[in-house]
Amino acid sequence: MTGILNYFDNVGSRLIRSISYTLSVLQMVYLAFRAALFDQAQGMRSIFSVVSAQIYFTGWEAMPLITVLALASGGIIILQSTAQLNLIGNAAFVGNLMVMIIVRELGPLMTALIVIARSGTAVSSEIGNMRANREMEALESVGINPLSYIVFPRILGGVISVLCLAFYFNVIALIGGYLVTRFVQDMPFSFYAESLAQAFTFEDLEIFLLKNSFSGMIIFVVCCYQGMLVKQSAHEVPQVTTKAVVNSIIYVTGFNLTITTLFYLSKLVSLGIV
Amino acid sequence: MITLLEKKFEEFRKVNSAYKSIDQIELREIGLNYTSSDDGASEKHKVVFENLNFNFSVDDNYLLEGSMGSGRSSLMKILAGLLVPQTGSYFINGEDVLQMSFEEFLPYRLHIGYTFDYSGLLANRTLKDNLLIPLMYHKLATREEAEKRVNHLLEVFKINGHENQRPASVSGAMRKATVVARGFILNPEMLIMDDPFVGLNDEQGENIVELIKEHRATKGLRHVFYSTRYERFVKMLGGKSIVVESSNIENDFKRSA
Repeated sequence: MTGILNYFDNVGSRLIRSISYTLSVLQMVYLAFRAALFDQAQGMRSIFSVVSAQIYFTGWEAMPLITVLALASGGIIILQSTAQLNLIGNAAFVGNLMVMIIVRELGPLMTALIVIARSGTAVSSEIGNMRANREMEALESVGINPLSYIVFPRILGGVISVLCLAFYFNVIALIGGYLVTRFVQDMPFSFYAESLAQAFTFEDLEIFLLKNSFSGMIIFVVCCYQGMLVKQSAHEVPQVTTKAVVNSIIYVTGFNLTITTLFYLSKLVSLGIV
Repeated sequence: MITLLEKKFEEFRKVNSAYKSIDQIELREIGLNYTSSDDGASEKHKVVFENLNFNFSVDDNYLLEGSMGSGRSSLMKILAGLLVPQTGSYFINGEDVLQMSFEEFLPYRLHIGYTFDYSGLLANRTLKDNLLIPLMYHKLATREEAEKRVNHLLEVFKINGHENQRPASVSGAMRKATVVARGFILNPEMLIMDDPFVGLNDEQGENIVELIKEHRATKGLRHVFYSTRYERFVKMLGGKSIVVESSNIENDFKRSA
């Protein structure tokens, strides 16, 4: 009996911790956006210079890595799917498979994981070091709100970068992937392009925007929050960075899974199956 | 001589309704303790202040004295609005600033200059940028005017020639001088300096004293809080001495300038 009570006790305290964590994160987002958007005393130009730097580091510098992964993913899926589809005589479905796997699922997830690995860690450790070196206090002492000057631009820049990178990933995976497979198979481009064009729907755009914008938001909000948790010492920085990565991955994959599930449930409902 | 920059700043003070002069400072029932759990096992509580009350008379220099760990730096941070105690109130002009949001406190904060005892510079900015940012961010001056003021401070603190380097590539004395110089950049009404003379040479120290006198005479500086163990500079600055010791501060005696 005590064992069962302990189990529920553990589950309850974990749940409360998760809710409390989420509320604290949301409070930080609210304060950062309020400070950046509504405080007239602060200069937006300074904020946008930080936004552009964030886009450069997160978006532009990640492009080579995204290119390699997108080419590989696109090529692999085209090769695998055409091999299987040819067996059942439905090669024209290659476009559907590509859109379903690349645009709806793999693109958002791969982009998010790359951004977490490259920029999430960087943002978390940078902010953590700034806390340890009293740079946040220094900003506050001259009337600059760290939430609007440090946190807000990173979130905004991060969201823009993730959206752009995901778009880039999709283009490279769909087009570049096809070009890579030209070395080993002979599918006409017009056939492939027509198959893709028929597969795209307005829902794909909705899913693209929803998944990628929120993934970007989750990554940078969580990483900024973890960085801000550093109190005094530099030894806390690697700890918060690790936690930032773990939490970002959990939240992003959970979010992607939820959206996909909801999307397919709504499909089943519209078809009258459920 | 009043420069164009100072005129602009005066205009800002008059025109901007957000500007708030600091006429009265009072601490009431302040309670502060630190919690550390670095070993990950047990939490340690250190009580710094317990029921601390003090009413500061304005337009004066205050020397904060006390042994290491007595809470001098914490008191200075509370006065600068950088540290929020667990209990109590901090009144400026009768308003409890501890209840204010960052934006609500901003009109006061822009007129409080604070200098750190160590560190406190933006690592990815040059020394010059560290001084320029407060003016440019709040649009308190045009670029030219801000540069003029910054160059003056660079000269006073003997940092010129190194202003385009980042904090990591200059000496500790240079970093310290920049931090102290930043305290003056907004022409504050209230200046809080935590050990400003440590690491600086005598000439730089004397320049700080002269700068305080200059700001007090011509740039609206009214209240100065500082801590130092150098008797030489204490004699030069004078003012009242406050002993901060074990959850208690007392007005010790008046030093002659």
